[in-house]
This record gives sequence, structure tokens and C-alpha cells, in this order.
Amino acid sequence: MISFLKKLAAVPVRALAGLLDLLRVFDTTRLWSYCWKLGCSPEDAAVLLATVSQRKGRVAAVNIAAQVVEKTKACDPVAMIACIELVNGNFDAAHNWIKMAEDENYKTPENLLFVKLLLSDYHPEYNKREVTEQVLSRNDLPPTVTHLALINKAFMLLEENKNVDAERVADRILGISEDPCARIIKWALCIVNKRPALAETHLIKARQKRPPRLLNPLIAQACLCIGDSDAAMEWLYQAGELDYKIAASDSPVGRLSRSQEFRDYCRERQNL
Amino acid sequence: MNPQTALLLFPGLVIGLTIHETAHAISAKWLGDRTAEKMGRISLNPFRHLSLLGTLALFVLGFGWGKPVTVNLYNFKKPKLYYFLSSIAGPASNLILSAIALAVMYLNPHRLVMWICLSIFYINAVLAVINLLPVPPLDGSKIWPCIIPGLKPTVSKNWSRFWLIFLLVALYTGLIDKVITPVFDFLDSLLPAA
Repeated sequence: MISFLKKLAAVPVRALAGLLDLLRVFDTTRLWSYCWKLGCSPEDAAVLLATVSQRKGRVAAVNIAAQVVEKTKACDPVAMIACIELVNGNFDAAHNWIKMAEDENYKTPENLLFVKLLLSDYHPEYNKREVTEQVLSRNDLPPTVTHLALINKAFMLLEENKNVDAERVADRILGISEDPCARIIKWALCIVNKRPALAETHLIKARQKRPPRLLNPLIAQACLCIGDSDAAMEWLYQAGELDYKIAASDSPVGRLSRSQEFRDYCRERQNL
Repeated sequence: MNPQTALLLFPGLVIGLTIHETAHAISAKWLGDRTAEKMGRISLNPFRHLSLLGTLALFVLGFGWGKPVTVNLYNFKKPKLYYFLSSIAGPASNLILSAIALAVMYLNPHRLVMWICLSIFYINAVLAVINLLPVPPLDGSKIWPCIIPGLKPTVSKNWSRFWLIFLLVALYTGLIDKVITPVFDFLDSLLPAA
């Protein structure tokens, strides 16, 4: 009965915190903290960690994470703190959180799939292909997770020269939303099929959605998938200073960006 | 809205929104997406569906909404058609509920039942009509892009902002009243004479 009343009391607090979050003016950390203490729900715990990280920084979030995770024994807050660690470049810390949740058999392990998918670019423990297939075999995950898995799948198919399948996946994504990654897949397929005019149309559409600094590494990745490493280096060079997430990743583009070959290429281009 | 009317409408709102959101979740499940089911949205517990803002809006604006049901379009074999069906399921369930309440009222039931049915009848009919407006977060913002050729079913943030401004202007200028008043007049004409 007391538990029910506490959960009931959390409802208006949650609503107020959500409303204030929309306004983005007030610090809602305390409200989310009350909400989590009253309702003890894993979802509130995850929002609390995200709010603390946003308002007070990563260290503050990590400091309360252990207590929050221990109390909820669910994967939602674990996924959130792992995401916070990942965004801050602490890939091993993110992996340790995930491992702990799996070892302890925390509830809703499927909620870790998104962070595993992200981490698969940075940590050798995660096989990108396996995690992607795991996500795509389910029909109960949020759209952002399935979307990311489909993008990965399309790039994998492109790399394997399964162009028809890659195009089918890209079309599936584009049938739902205008997505620059899917556009780049289509662009690469047009380049392979020697249709430069159509390729340019796809490129223009992708450029409308993403700035060159973020789009060019994607184009470089597509170029690598179709085996054109010279073009990949040129696109990567044109991207300018790379986002640290790309530079640190274990993806083909990440590896290319760290290679001596690319450094030499950049030096040559600068001397021109 | 005066407190008496608000009290009259409240049971209808709770029942209407609960059925409305559950209908979205069930239809999505039937069409291949179990995201909403996993989030516990196939439930007749109103607390899972009512949003504080949407409920308050009923008393201030004369119409309300529930917590939106998450639908993963990537799980649908025919995204546009199935998204249309799962989106229209909410307003359709409200229309059916409204028709049932009207039918019960014609049976001349006890006063209390009559009062509840009247509330269900009004609120559900208004919910069905208002939800067809193409303004996020209402269902119309999902339904119309699925019908209009060339549009993608997911609405961009800019598009949502445009409609939100439109909604505020419509409320300020009384345009919303011009939509709701004829609906109420029509509903009044359907009620049993007694």
C-alpha cells in the first residue's frame, strides 16, 4: 500500500519535472531525484542519471550511478551510465557497466543493445555484426535502436558487394524518414552503377541534413565499402578536424583516419 | 470550463484516453510491432496512459490527449499503411465507444449510468475529431502524412514546431472553438429527447 502511494505521489513530480525539462530553463535534478526515490522505477533512474550528467557533469553522474543501479537492479540506468561513459570516451568503463549488469542478471537486458551497438565501434568485446543481428531479430525495441542497426546492416551489405540487399535496406529506411546515412548508401550504389547524376541528387539531399564535418566521414566509409580508398581519403581530408568519436572508433574510417597513409595524404594535399 | 462540466467530462476522459492509447498499442502489436506492448501500454490502467499536461488541457482548452504510444515503423512490413492503421485505431476506438454510449443512453438507464454515458459520449466524440487535426502530438499529424502521396510518415521537428505555433494561434484567435462548437452542436442533436 505504501509502495503504491509512493508511486502515485511520483506521478505529479514526474509530470512537473518533464514539463520543466521541456522549458530547458530550470535545473530539474532535484525533482528527478525525488521522483526516483518515490517511484524507484528504472526509467526514472535513467532520466535522473542523464539529468545529473547534463547539469553537473559525468563525475557527479558516476558518483550516484552505483547506488541507483544497485537499487533498481535493471538495465535501464546501466545503459544510461554506459552511454554517458561512452560519450566521454571511457569505453572500458562503459563495458564494465554492461558486464556487471549481465553478470548480475539485471532486468530488461535488451535495453543494453543500443549501447552495445554504439560500443561495437570502439571496444573489441562487441561484435558489430552479432549485435546488429540481435537487434534486427527483435520487434520490441525503440525505433532509434532498430534504425541504427539497419544503417549498420546496410553498410555491411555494401561492403560484401550485396548491392541489391543494401539498396533494399536503404530504401526501407528512406521510406520512413529522410536519413543522410541511407542517402549515402544510395549515393555509393549510384557510383558503383555509374549513375553520377543520380548520385549527386542523393548527395545534395544528405548535405541538407548533416554538415560536412559529420557527413564526409560517412561518405568516406561508403567509399571504403565499395573499395575506393583514394576517394575515402579525399572525403576524410575535406571533413577537416574529425569528431573525436570517429577518430577513436575501430571502424574502417576510424582506422583510416589514424593511418600513416592518410597522414601522408593530408601532408601532400596541404602542400598543393 | 466550469468545475461542474469538468467533473462531468472526467470519467469520459479517463475511459476514452485509456481505450484510445490501448487501441494504438494493440493495433501496432497485431501489425508486427511489440514496442508499445513491452512498454506496458496494452493495459486498461489509466495511469499508464494519462499525461498530466493532456489531462489539464481538457479543463483549460476543452480537449486533451494521453501519453503518446511509441511505435517502431521499422517493424512494419508496409510502414506507411500499417502506421496509418495503428494511428487511426485510436480515434476509431473513440468513435466506437461514443456510439456504444449513445446506444446505452437510448435504453433510458439509471441516472448515474446516463451521466457516465453522456460523459463518455461527448469526450470520445471530441477526442476522435480533435485527434484528426494534423497538429503534433495529435494522431492527425501521423495519419495525414500516411495518406498524402510523397510525404514520409515521420514528421520532422521543424514541421512539429510549425504546427505547434499554428495550434497556439488557433487557440488565441478562437479557431479551435470554430471546430469544436459544430461538433458539440451535432452531438447534441444525436442525444435522446429525454
